[in-house]
Amino acid sequence: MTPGSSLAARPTADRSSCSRTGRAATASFSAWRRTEPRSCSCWTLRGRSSGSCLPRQLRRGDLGSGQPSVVRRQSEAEQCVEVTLHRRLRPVLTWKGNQFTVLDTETQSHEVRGEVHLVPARRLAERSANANPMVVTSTAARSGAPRSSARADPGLRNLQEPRSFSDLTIQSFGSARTGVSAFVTALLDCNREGARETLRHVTARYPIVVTRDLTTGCVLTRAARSSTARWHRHKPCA
Amino acid sequence: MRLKPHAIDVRVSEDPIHWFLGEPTHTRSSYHLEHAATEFEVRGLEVDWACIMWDADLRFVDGGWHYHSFRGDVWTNVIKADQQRYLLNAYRVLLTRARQGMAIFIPPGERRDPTRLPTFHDVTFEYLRELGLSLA
Repeated sequence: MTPGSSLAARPTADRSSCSRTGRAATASFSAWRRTEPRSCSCWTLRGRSSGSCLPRQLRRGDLGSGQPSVVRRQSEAEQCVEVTLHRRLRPVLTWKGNQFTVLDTETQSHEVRGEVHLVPARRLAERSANANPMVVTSTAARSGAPRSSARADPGLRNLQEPRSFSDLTIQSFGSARTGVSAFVTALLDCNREGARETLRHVTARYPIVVTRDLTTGCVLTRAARSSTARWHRHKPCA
Repeated sequence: MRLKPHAIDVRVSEDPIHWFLGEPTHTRSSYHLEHAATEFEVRGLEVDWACIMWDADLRFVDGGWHYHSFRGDVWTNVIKADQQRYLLNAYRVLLTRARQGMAIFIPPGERRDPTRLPTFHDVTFEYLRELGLSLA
């Protein structure tokens, strides 16, 4: 496999009408490209959009751990769209409306959900020339708010806002290994059966207790702690 | 957040470097369990064991989550979907920080304090117990 080669073309398309002009706009993605062949951990989804509207952003959210999306504009009518994700195996992409889901074939449980927002090209042109209009870090727009609220965002001002980490979740590798992530996901999704099932597998290696007494919780944690003990035991200057 | 009655004030900022890497004798380190780290401080990092404190901002009511925010001296409902997801993801971050095990502390509440009524916490506690979590 050569670096940068295009892999397994999966023509997909998202058709959405522009909220202002009402005309159809298209965003399409065709291939995954391995961008870090040495580490084999970085995949870029390449595509393009055309029509009267420009893709505003590819929003990552909910689950997964990828790099921030990059949307690059090539011309007035056509843009190159890329989103980079960190996965060891090639992700599988599915579309539903203007929302896409990336399923990690490695774990079958970590997903990256996102959606393509289309905004009129004229509105983007009104923004400052100093700012890259295609890299939108607006928290409100990134958070999957309805299109009406996305229109209300001032745009340029929000370009300077820091990205809210709460929009995505950085999964713990340790907890993913022990199955805790699956349990927590089921717990927070109110999936009782799934949570019970995963908890049965988890508790053998990963004790989880619930308590109404903070002192009890602290005593348990303090009794089991090792924290930096390994580091302080083995550090060179010790 | 209504954890100050338990001597936990998340507004007191602590340097995560000291919290994660401080010497065992260091009072600012996580060893001492004096300073509670928030989801902002522990994101992307792990500890061996964690004691997670579940506040009344996320309550399990009638088979689903109710999202709240403490403003002034009352709990308010969180209406916006993105804010609700932020809150849910905050708990997701906290609940996946420990490598070896964790204790989830759900405050018992206080009947005389309308901001810490036991009913705020009991529903979540019952939900977790129903899932099979053992009681300590």
